[in-house]
Amino acid sequence: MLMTKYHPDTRFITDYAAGSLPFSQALCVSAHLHYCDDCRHKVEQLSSLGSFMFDELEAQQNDADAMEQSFNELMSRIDDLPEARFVAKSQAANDNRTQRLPSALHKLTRGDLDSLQWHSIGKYFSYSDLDIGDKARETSLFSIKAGGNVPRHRHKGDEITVVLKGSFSDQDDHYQAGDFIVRTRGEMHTPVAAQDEDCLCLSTLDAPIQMTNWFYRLLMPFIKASAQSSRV
Amino acid sequence: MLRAMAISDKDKQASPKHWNDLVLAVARKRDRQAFQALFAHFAPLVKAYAYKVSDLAQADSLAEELMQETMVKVWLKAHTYNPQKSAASTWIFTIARNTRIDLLRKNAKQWESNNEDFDENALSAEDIWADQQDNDVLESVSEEHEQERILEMINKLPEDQITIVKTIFLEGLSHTEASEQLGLPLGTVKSRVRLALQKLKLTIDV
Repeated sequence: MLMTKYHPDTRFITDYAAGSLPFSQALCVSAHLHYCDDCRHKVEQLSSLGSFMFDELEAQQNDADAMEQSFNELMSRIDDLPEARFVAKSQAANDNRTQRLPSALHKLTRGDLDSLQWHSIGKYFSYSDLDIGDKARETSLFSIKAGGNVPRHRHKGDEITVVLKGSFSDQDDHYQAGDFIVRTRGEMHTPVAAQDEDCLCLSTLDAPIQMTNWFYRLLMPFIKASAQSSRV
Repeated sequence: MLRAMAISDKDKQASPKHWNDLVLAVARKRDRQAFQALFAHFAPLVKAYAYKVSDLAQADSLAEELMQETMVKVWLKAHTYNPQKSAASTWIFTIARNTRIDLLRKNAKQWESNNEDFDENALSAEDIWADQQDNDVLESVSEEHEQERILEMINKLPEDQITIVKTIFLEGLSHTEASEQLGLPLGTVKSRVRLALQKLKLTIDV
């Protein structure tokens, strides 16, 4: 079994299990879970913790007649549903996990990475933006060709990367499928894909919506300039 | 009145297995009586869970919709429930959690654009948050002991820790949002959650 080395920390795992993690970051955690037995186990434990607190909520109880009526309404709604609404049992569990993409990404790509629109930057790097309705973040798949690198860059916001296939290295370490890597604003690095295989990753970057406003666009040169001077 | 109280006492003491068996009865026989018993217990809890959303303007309309949607899914998905992976109450909680995420997202979208076009390839919460994690059976057997132990421990947590854990799990606020709402530094929120989980012997990392 493949061992992932970098895991979401307690904060990410807890917010994920509680359902309070922003959608795109939750997508990254779920991608990690696809590869990591330990974190799946933690999520199940934390979900039961959530359900204990749920069990202890003060029930919004109506009187018996109202309950009866509410139940009858529900049943007549259910009786009107087409048979097709019954959810098929998932057979995915017995497949070899590492051969497939995480299920949410499988759905987004319809099982075919080429169905997405890819943009290349240079010879080795390409990316495809994913629209999952989280406007506060930019979420994308990116691919580095075997042996290729991503030009040295500085992170503009907090970023999560999950390795999906292949592996890459930077000055700090070597990252493999399932690794969940958090970079904070301002960190610099130059990822290089392993020689023998293309590397596919999922990433989501905090990109506050204001950054695209004209006000901020006009302001940007000053921010950049001051960032550069503080770097010196 | 007395009878009603007796029922609710019995209800409180119902073992986790009792709820598991009811879900399984719905799965096997589409058993309406079993489903009504689940409804009587869980529908009021799901409503209460809806009212925990911090944006109260949404809570009223949310409560009825969340309850109905969640219970419909319990009926439709009963045959996918596996008692070896988790307790029925955990399973129903995750369905309510996922449904709440989707309803809140749907509402937010309508506020923004008013368009209701439905994209069948769009992700919904259940694509990202599985109803049950795919763990092997060995791990789950030990889980039954775990649940009893955690239940005992949870009431012994210090107030400041349990408040934050409840804010995150019930109100649907992330660490970051909880720190804003409670006026606490993010680091304090993180360390209180971590301490609580350590006491419960859950997800300890370095």
